[in-house]
Amino acid sequence: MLKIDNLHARIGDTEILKGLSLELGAGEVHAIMGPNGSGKSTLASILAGRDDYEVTEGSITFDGVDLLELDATERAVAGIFLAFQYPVEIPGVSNINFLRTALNSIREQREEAPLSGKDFLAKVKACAQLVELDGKLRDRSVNEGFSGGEKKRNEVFQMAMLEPKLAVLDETDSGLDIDALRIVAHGVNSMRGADRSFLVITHYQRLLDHIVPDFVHVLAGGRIVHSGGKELALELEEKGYDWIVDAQPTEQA
Amino acid sequence: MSAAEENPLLDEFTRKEYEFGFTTDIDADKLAPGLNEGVIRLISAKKNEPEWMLQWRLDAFRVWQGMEEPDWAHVNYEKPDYQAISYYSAPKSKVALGSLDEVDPELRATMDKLGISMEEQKRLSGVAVDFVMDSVSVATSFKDKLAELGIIFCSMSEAIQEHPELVRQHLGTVVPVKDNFFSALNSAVFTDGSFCYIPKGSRCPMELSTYFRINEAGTGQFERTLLIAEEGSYVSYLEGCTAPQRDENQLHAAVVELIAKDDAEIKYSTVQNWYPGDANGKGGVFNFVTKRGICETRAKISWTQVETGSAVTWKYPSCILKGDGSIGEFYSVAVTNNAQQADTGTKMIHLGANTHSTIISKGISAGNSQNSYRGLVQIGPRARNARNFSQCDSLLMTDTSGAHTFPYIETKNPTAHVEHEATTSRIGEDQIFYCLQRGLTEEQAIGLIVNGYAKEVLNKLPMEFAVEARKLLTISLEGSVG
Amino acid sequence: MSEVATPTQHAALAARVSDACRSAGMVGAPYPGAVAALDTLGYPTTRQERWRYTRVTRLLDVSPTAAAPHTAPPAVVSGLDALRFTFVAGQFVGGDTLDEGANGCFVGPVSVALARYPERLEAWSHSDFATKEWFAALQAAAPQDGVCILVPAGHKLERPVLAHHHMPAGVHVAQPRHLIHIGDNASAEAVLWSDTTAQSEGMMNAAITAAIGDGAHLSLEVVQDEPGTVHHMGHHHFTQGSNSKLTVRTATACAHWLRNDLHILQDGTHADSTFHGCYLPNGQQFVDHHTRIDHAHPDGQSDELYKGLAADKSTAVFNGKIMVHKDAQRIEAYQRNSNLLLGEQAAMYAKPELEIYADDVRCSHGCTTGQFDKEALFYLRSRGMTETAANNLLVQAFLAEVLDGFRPEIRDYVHSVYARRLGWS
Repeated sequence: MLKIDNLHARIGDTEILKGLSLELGAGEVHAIMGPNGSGKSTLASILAGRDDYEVTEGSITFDGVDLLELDATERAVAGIFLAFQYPVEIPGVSNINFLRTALNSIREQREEAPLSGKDFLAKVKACAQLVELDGKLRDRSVNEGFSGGEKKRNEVFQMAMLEPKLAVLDETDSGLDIDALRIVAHGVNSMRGADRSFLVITHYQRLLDHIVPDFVHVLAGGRIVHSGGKELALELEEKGYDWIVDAQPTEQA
Repeated sequence: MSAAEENPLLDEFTRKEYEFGFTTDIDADKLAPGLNEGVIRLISAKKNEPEWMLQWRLDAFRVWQGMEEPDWAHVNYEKPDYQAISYYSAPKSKVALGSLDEVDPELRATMDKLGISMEEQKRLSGVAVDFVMDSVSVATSFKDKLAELGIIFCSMSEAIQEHPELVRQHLGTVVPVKDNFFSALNSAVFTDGSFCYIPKGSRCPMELSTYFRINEAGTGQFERTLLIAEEGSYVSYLEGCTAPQRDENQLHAAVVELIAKDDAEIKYSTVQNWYPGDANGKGGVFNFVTKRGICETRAKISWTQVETGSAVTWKYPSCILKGDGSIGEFYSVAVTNNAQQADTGTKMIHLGANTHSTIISKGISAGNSQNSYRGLVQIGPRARNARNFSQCDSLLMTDTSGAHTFPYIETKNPTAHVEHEATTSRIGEDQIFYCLQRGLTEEQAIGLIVNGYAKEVLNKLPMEFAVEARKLLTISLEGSVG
Repeated sequence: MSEVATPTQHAALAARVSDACRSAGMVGAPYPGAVAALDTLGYPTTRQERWRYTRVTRLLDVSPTAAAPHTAPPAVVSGLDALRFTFVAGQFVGGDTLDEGANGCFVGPVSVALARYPERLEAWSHSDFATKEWFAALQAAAPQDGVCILVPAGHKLERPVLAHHHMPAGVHVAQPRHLIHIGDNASAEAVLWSDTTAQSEGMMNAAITAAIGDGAHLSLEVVQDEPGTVHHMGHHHFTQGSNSKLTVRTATACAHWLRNDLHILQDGTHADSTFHGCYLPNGQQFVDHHTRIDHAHPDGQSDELYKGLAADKSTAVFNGKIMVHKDAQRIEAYQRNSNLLLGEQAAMYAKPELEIYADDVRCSHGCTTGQFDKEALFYLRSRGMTETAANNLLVQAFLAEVLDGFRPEIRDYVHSVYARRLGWS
């Protein structure tokens, strides 16, 4: 479904990704872990099409399509969803109107009919329940005045609404208390399915107790330096990153 | 604002050109260009005005001749040749209209294109509409129904004929003839406009609305609006403006006077969409307007404006808070794109004790435009416990546009509280990216963000206008991101 | 409220002032173009935006008497260790001149600098404001002595400079000019102090011209303590190079009639400017602070804060303009002006302006006018303070944001002047 091959990327003069390769199959959940500054969030941003980064080498294909040829909107239409680490506030635009505009924009670009008001509201209700999102938050401006936990729940709520094929969760656990973490994880888990893949980016193993991955990769110095099953996360929790990173003499974390 | 209200505007992205740039092919009775006493006598005679009105105009003309066009605003334009303008143009078929059915079919079609089909209005929302084309009021709806309540809503010409005592008593009392160059000019040559009188204690049951349109080439529009709200009355008044696309600059120099007597409330909303000129700044309307209201004891005047049109705007809807406890409000969204220039804001003159005013101004600059807020808050020596809060934000869409803030804060009473805040920032790239990631197109994203930014002001508009205003904001910013 | 001076009146003023300065002793020649500008510029009127709230017709009556012999005034902030210089009515009286030779630091009167190192002053010391503003032109047409600080590239001036300008009793005019040049990566600190006696009259038309090189630092404290009835015009101009840092703090401790024009030009990238000021007119006094910062290059920062009180029948004016030029991207500019009105007939005119021609900027201004928080006053009194003590404390608290930036000696001095003038000490 997603194939990243030898990806090199930089921002300004700083090279951040230095030959990253990764493959995700349909329905799989992959976790990417790694020390701070290893390029985790860069990877998320590049997948979503943020143009601050320049891809200098390598390729990304998504369902056989060259992802790097698509702009951010087209990637969303193709089914890529990024749950932001820091969801932005948009004053004056209600959450609900924002979502309806987004949903119908995607449907229009897919040449599907817009969702009726009734169907839309029914869907909102179902998805909001999934992450226990307060009705008031739906009517407030997008992310404005939301607590850290509310913002993350709102991201998962939007994910549920937009039903992506590939969801990239960028440090979704940061700033969450244990209850919020459980709610967010529940939302994600209930969306797991044969035709939906997840790329879960996290610094801590804690999230992976709740969202159990099929594969765990360690990103350090701009490339994947180690891959394994879910047990790798526990090992990392116990030993830290140094033992893997140090084993890569050519790379700097 | 519900999703249902906000959404339709997002479907409007396809229209790139100025949407209202059609002309109406109506045989017009148009005066040769030029301005002298003879022209003023002719205007007055054509309108069959009483002698006092003619004298008033002639006095104004003499005052105007001794004045100079102001140049303190942050705008650059070639000053109009006042002798090259025709000061009177009326659709020829104008007769005393008994009902809407007698309106010229071409004119009816024009109104339909403007989206103000009177039939529609009549059936649906109960908005009384006065339609002013070039300089003459052509139709006023719902007159009879309003008359039952003692409310007078008619064209200014008609008011001069039918209610001369009311006009004579109030005309020029809020905006004196010599107030400024354009008000003096307007006083000399105004040809029509709307007149509205709300009797004591009455609450106008429907929105009153006037649509202004400049149609003829080479004409100026000089309308005059006078609105009197007697003690304890309430009225909400809407005004919309359009003009056809023309390569030349057309002059619009209107005067609006509002009088809110004790405990009265006037809500005055404007959606201004005069032709802004093309992308290179050719053509477009010069919008030099004087709007002012006076508040007696505990009265309230609230101005709301959405300014998207005009090549050059020079406009400061103001409140004189004369009575104790009176309230003035000013809510404004001004969008400039391409080569447009706007210098707009308000004046809040606090004279009475316990007077309050609020100013919310949202400027949006795109293209190569210049957008300035200019506002005066003046607290007089007798205005004990006066309060003002001003918030002036500017949003820049391109690095070739300008956003400027020129507030004047003059306080002469030690019990006053005056607070002014202003910020200038660029449209947030993070916000746009977030929207794109959720599948919105760039134009949808900008439309959504800008409407959110201006929401505080848009929410002050009556429903009928709010929808139109949101569309306008989005349309005027198409393809504007730098 | 506008009036226009007839040409003969202001030409006569120019002649009187220039003659008086010449006979007392000018320093150097008139600046090129300044004399001609006096004719072409015309006298300011309240019809001009920059003079909207500032009537200068009253200055037309200034008619100086012959200069009396000058004696040195008592030292100010005597506890402060500094290179001290004293000037009386535009003339150098004495000081700790520091001269390290043609390649070293020089601190001394402009008259001496001009005699010894004319070439070190040439390139930068001519301000083009001398041909743009009438009073600046008047100043430049007959400049008098002031302090000159020259710090070559890479040097740090170890001791602060304190230049004290005094206006003696009687009707005098003085047009001191201070010149400051800080070379690349050099630094200096200075205090420019001007005062008068209670019997001083006339006009003080003073200029500060400072050029701050790339990576250089200048910290300047300006104190104006003028209890007489002198009309004071200040022209304070600063030009900053890339990565330079400028701090200017202005305390108008007392002034009968005063107008300061402070102008900062960021003429390089990553320049950083801080300019704070405070003022407290009472009686019938008039204090006007006009400031302008030009962000002409990218990545600059500025932080402006002016706070003041207007008591009795006094008038205070604040006009601050932030100008961001085209292509000066990533500017962060903040301006704040807070005012308290204490007198029934006091007036405050504030005009905080933003003029912005670049889009990637973060600029804001805030401006408030109000009075003491009655709750706070009540709270203090309920804790046993007298009304005077409570007021004093609140004034101190209100001005602390600005005054705390000064040296403690100056801060305490300015506060004591304020408290005395408000009758609270």
